[in-house]
Amino acid sequence: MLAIGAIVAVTTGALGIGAWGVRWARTTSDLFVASRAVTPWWNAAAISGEYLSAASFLGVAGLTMRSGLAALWLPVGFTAGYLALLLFVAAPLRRSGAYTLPDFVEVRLGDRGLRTVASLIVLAIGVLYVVPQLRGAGLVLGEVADVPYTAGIVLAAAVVVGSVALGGMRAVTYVQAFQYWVKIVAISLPACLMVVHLGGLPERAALLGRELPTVGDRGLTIRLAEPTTVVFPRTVRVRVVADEELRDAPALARAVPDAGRAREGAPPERVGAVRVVPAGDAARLPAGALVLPPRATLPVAEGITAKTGQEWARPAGGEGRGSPLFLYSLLVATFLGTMGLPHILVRFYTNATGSAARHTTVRVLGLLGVFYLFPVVYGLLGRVLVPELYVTGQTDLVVLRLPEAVFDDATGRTLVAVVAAGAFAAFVSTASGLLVSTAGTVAYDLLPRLRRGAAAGGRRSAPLARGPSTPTLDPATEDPAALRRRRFRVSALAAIVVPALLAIAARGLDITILVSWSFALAASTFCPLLLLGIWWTGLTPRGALAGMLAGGAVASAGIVAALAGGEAMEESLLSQPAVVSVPLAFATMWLVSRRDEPLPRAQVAAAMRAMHAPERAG
Amino acid sequence: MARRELDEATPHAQLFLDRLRRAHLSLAGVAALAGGGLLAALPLVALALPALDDDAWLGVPWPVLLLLTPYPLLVALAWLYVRRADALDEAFLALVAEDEEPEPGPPDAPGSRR
Repeated sequence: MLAIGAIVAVTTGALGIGAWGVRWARTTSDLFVASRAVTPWWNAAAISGEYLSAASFLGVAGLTMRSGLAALWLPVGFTAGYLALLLFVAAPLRRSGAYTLPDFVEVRLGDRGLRTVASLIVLAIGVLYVVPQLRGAGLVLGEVADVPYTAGIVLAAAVVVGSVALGGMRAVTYVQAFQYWVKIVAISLPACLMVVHLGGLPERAALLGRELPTVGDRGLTIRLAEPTTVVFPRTVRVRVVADEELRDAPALARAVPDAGRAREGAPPERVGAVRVVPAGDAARLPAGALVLPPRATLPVAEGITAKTGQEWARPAGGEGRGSPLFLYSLLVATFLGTMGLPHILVRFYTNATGSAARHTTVRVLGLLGVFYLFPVVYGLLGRVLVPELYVTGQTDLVVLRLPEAVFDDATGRTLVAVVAAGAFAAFVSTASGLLVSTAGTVAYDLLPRLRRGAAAGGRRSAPLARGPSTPTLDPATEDPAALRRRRFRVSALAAIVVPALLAIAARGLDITILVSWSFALAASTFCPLLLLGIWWTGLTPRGALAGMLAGGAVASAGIVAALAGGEAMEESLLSQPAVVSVPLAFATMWLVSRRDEPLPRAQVAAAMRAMHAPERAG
Repeated sequence: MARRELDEATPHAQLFLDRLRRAHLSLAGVAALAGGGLLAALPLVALALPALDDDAWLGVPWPVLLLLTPYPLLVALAWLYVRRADALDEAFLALVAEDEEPEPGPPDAPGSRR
């Protein structure tokens, strides 16, 4: 109940700021483009608030618990991406006056067809990124409030659409900044209180030594909601009992090791049987309550590898997530992919100048760095305090489960409410940012164009004088602003329904692989487009098209193959194809442009001047 | 070089702008090498260091410390870069303003901002 209250409070707070902001966001250009009066600190908090998603709030801690400290390269890459963005993109993109990536394509290359291709890629990245957000919202609501998964997703989608349709960009800037502070408090406060309460890291041997994850001294009873396949790394006596027998759980746990009736070799297939399962065996446990004796080594769910503390704590080396090639590929995807995320680039337009865009980005690096100090705490504590998640495979829930495992009084329940509110803020903020981008793309790039004034009027409050389609508002026609707003709202509704359906279908999917996909896709398409477009005069529309298609196709093929291969492929290079697809995209873009007829010199010079001349020089 | 020339995109102005773009590109390149080098080197450091049973500094295990070091370094690098990049822009604007002296009025009236 407490958790629902906290979620409702944060959500109404955000919607309230949105509604309050919308009152001064009524002028033509303001619904989409916040006024430039937003300062770098506000902008940086808004960017960080929008960026810190389910993958950061729940996923990083869960992945750390699941695969070990090697998972911490992920947030390093998530943050470092802003360095690449700062160095090569922030100021020139802001100065170009382009508001979205399709706008940039049109400003730089002046090609309508390519604009459509860029819009489709924006849509693909947006949908891939929204699905895990909604899925995470469904999980959180199910965990803290017993809301059915599908209902949770519908609820979250409704909140997101509401907050987007109510407020324009300007309102969203303040909403997102508010969400950053919600998230940083929600992740840091419980982490600090838990570490202080425990007096440091407990059970160091299990964390860093030679032990596999084990049951504590009092034994452990784990509720299995559905039949679960697990692997036993060590020989263990186990018993599965019906839920009703659970009342005397400690007595049951004590009873298990002495059960003389246990037969060697046969895993328990039915409720009530006591079995000794030999090391290395896999077993499909029936639904019910799994009772494990004190100090037993835990069985782990399919897809999880049981690791000793030493293996678990190694940041690099070995197979899977720690293997050097996987690791470098992940760093490449996140380092170069961040600049291609549509919902992030839009935010740079709200900076006053190119220089302000740079200052904003430095602050973003700082704000993200502070946030990412904390997920690791949950990963470390989770390994020893909520090891039952290894059995059920729900390591993504570690952030939500941990506070009650540390504090068994009201403090625990309060802190669960705090992290639940933070997690919900993470989904809503990222999903609504993405929705603004995808809905805008649907409304203005993919749907048939309205009359010029209505379609593009006011989207850029200061379009390039030599931009390809300088719009003029025709005062004689029906109010174009109202038309645009209506069209945008309808598109927003459409743009959330598709990912919501996908999220309902993708219940069992790993939350991180879809995020990896969108990063890899962004790094293999928009990153070369931006870098070559901004810094190289020789880029041509045909070269850009060939490069984006080649990079996007290779990255997607790898990930589709990894998804088809199931859990075994989750940590293989196929699921992290950037190390191959990004260089390929760059090379294709460069080679095809070299062989193509160059764009008119004057057009390129004008675009370069717009991007690189500091503001006061005209 | 006068602002007028820049607006009219004369060859003279074009030359100065190309020079500014190259200066920015090499500055960004140096910073990217530093940042990318840091990211590329850390996994190697992690691979090279032996697995330690329980080695900690103020209770924090060393792998965690290693994986938290990039954050302050990235901020420091970004801050240094922004200072240099702003200085490049300022130098360019000073160059533009030099020929403007005789003209009355401030060169950066709010209306001229993009």
